[in-house]
Amino acid sequence: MNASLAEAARAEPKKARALIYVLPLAVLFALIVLAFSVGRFPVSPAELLAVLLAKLTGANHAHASLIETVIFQIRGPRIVAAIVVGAALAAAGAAYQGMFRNPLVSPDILGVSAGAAVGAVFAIFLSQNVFVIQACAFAGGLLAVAAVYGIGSSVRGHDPMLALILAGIIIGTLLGSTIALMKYLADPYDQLPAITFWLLGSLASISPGDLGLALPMIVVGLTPLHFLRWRMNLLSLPDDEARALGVDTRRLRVTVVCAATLMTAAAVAISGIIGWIGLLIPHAARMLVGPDFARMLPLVMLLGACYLLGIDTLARTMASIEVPLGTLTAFIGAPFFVWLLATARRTWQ
Amino acid sequence: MKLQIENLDYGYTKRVIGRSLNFSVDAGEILCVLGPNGSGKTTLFRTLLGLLPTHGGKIVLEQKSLVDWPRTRLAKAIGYVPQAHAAYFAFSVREIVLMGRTAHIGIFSLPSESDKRMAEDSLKTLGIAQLADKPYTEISGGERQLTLIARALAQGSQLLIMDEPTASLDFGNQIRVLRQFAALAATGIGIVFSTHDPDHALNYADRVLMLKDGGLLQCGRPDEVVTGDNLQQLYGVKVAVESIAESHPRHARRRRTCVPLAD
Repeated sequence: MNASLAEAARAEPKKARALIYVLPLAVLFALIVLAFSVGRFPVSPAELLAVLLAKLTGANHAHASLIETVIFQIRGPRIVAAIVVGAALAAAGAAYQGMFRNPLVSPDILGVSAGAAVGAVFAIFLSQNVFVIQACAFAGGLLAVAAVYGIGSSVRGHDPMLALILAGIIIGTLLGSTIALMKYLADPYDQLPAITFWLLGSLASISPGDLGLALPMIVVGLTPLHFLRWRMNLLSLPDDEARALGVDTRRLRVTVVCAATLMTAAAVAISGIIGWIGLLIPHAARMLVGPDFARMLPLVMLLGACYLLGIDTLARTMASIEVPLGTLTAFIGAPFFVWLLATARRTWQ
Repeated sequence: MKLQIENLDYGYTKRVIGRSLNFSVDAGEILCVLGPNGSGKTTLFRTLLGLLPTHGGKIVLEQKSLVDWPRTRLAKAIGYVPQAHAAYFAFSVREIVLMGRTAHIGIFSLPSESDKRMAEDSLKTLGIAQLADKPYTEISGGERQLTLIARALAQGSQLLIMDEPTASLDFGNQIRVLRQFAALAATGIGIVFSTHDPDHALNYADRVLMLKDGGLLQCGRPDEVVTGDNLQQLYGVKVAVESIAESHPRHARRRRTCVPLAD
């Protein structure tokens, strides 16, 4: 997608505007087919289609049960998880950025991911089930973002954008130490590998059951964001102005924080910490359709899904062992962000 | 729509800035607030908008105390034009003006076609229709101010409160905006605005309110209130108010202007 297409879509022509959603959708579809096919056990698109058709029609099929297991038990959940987690993290990032009037925040920088991670690691430490892990992740994420926002807004006399980011770094470091402490105390044969593996971020061990828990949470978080998608824009104005325009800013802000944190926590609980998506993808979307949240939300989710599915497919096929997802998003995300900083000044001041 | 201020004590949440203010704004009236930096103009405006609680006294809008107005209804009644500021996101001018319609749009709804039309109309009224697709981050300070005024117009309020609306405008745009006030007032909209230029008070206001250290110094018709003595009391510099005959065939009236004098 080049700059002139983005320009055209912003200016108006309906065709270009539709294309900007259709193109990522096509890419996502292609990625899904690719992700099903590649891997240690290759499945050709024809085989995939045949198995899917057989499953749909309930017809007797002559396909090796191995292919079925690969499609439905291994790759299927993983692909769905990549799409869901990518879309959720990207949408949450866009919501946080609009809400804090700060294009540099993301679930990672606000400490939400780390807070959710502390909650989740704590639950793993206590050998709890997935449901408790999710609840703890949500509580941890909410506490972290409340602390960061509280510190950021109580430090007067500083650039508020800087104060928020510094507060995020402080809380993030604190939470990092908490995680380190729990790792130190964890059972080195059983819990420690689980925690370490989980912290690196991975979609490898996702079961349909995990998805069944996380997906509803993400939908619950997404619902208010979808319905408030135009009103969200008002939060990017100074508080006084938004209130004078008739917005109950406090209630709106609390709703949006809870929704975005729920989405982040649900994603983090099944995938571990996967950074950068919540920071980068909203920028990319804003470059393409402008900052209007109503237009941005579907695109941000599509791009987030494409990005994570692409990266995850790369992570499990590029080397003979699987590369941790969190590290790969950082290796790709960091240079991309540098490029954004250098070229995309127009997406913020 | 009449706004009455009775014995108002106002200030920040923890500090009172001014006490016992009395004045009112009628429909179609232009009230200009003059006062040195830090005299409490912005704080007073924020109190009038219901953004800060009062410390005493009453603000009455349409015979009803301001605290009894729900936020959305209040937004339909009073519009706010803040000092032009920077923005973090590159919303287009059209999108910013459309935000003025918020109080008329359901919480879960998108702007309707009629909302969009009203936004276009207020852009045209202020003569900035050509800026509609420009990002707010890339226009000049003056254009931003005009955009914010257009947003308040789109809000459809009967009373506009403007905090130094001419501060970042060039000379021509200042006059254009002030003339716009007269046109708006003619339709029955009440306007309260603050400025640092006493000439604006002299030539474009129906009434002038002088604020010093939060308190009321003077309030009355411009020709009575904006005098050399009062201005010296207000700003601490010597000023003469001079009168110039305008030789326009249709507007044969006198214009007045302030000239600073050597102390």
